Amino acid sequence: MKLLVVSLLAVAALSAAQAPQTFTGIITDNMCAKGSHAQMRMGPTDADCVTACVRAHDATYVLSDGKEVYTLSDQRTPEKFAAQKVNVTGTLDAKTKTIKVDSITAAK
Amino acid sequence: MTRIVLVVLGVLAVSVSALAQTAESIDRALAAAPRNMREGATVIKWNPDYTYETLKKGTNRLFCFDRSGEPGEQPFAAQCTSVGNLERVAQNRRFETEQDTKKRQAMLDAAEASGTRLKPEYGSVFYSLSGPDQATARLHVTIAVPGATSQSTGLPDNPKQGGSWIMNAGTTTAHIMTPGQ
Repeated sequence: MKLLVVSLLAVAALSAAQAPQTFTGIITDNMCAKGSHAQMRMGPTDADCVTACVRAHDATYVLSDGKEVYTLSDQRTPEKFAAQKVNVTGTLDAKTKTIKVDSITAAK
Repeated sequence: MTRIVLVVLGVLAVSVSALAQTAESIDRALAAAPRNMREGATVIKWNPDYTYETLKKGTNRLFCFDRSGEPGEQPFAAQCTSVGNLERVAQNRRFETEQDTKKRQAMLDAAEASGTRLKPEYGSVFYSLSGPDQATARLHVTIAVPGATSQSTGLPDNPKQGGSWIMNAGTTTAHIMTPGQ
C-alpha cells in the first residue's frame, strides 16, 4: 500500500513538473539578451535589431524575463514578436532552460 | 577511532567533489577558446566582489571563465578574451548586476560620458560560447576596437552591406561584428 502511495505521489510530482506553464518576458536574441538594442544600430527599431542578430549573426530567439533567459523550441513564431513583451506557454526543461513552446501571445 | 575515520572520509569526499567541480569548470571555460589556444589559456573564477581566483595558470595571453547559469546567461555560457581585458570584464560584471536593462544602459552611458568606462584592448578578441547546453552552444566572436568609427577604420557602422561592421561605433564598446558569428 505504502509503495503504491509513494509511486502515485512520484507520478503526480513528475506530471506537475512537466505541465505547461506561462512565462512572461521580452523576445530577444541570445547574443544580446543583456544588452540594449537601441545602442547597436542594427536597425531602426529594437525589433529590427533582434531579427538582424538572428538572421545575420546566427543568434537564436530567446525569452528574457530580466533574470532568466529561456531558449525557445519554436524559432519561427518569435520573429513577429521580436522585442515585444509576450506570454509564452509551454513546458520547461529546467536543466537546459528550454521552453517547448505551445503558444506565444502578446502580453498586455 | 571510528569518529576520526569518518571525519577523514568526509573531508576527503568534500575535497574530491571540489576538485571535480573545478576540473569541470575549467573544461567548460576552455570550450570557448580556439582549439590551438586552449592549452596555454588561463582559466579564472570570478568572486562575488569582482576579484578572481586563478584555476589554471596559462602561458598565452588568453583568459577564460565559466559563467554558466549566471543571471541573464544561458545554462551553458563561457567567455575568453585577452588578459588585457581583465579589468574591463570585471567592470562589465559590476554593471551586469543591475537586472533592469534600461537602468543598466543608463549607468553604462553615464560611465561612458564621464570617461570612467574602462577600454578593452584594441584588437583583442572576445569568444563567447553559450546555449542551452554545451553540445548546442553557439560561438559569438567579436573584435574590440574601442573608439573606432567608420571614419577611422573604413568599416560601416551598421550591417546593411552584409560584411563586417562596427557595432557601438565611437564608444569604448565598439567592436567588429562578423556575419554568421
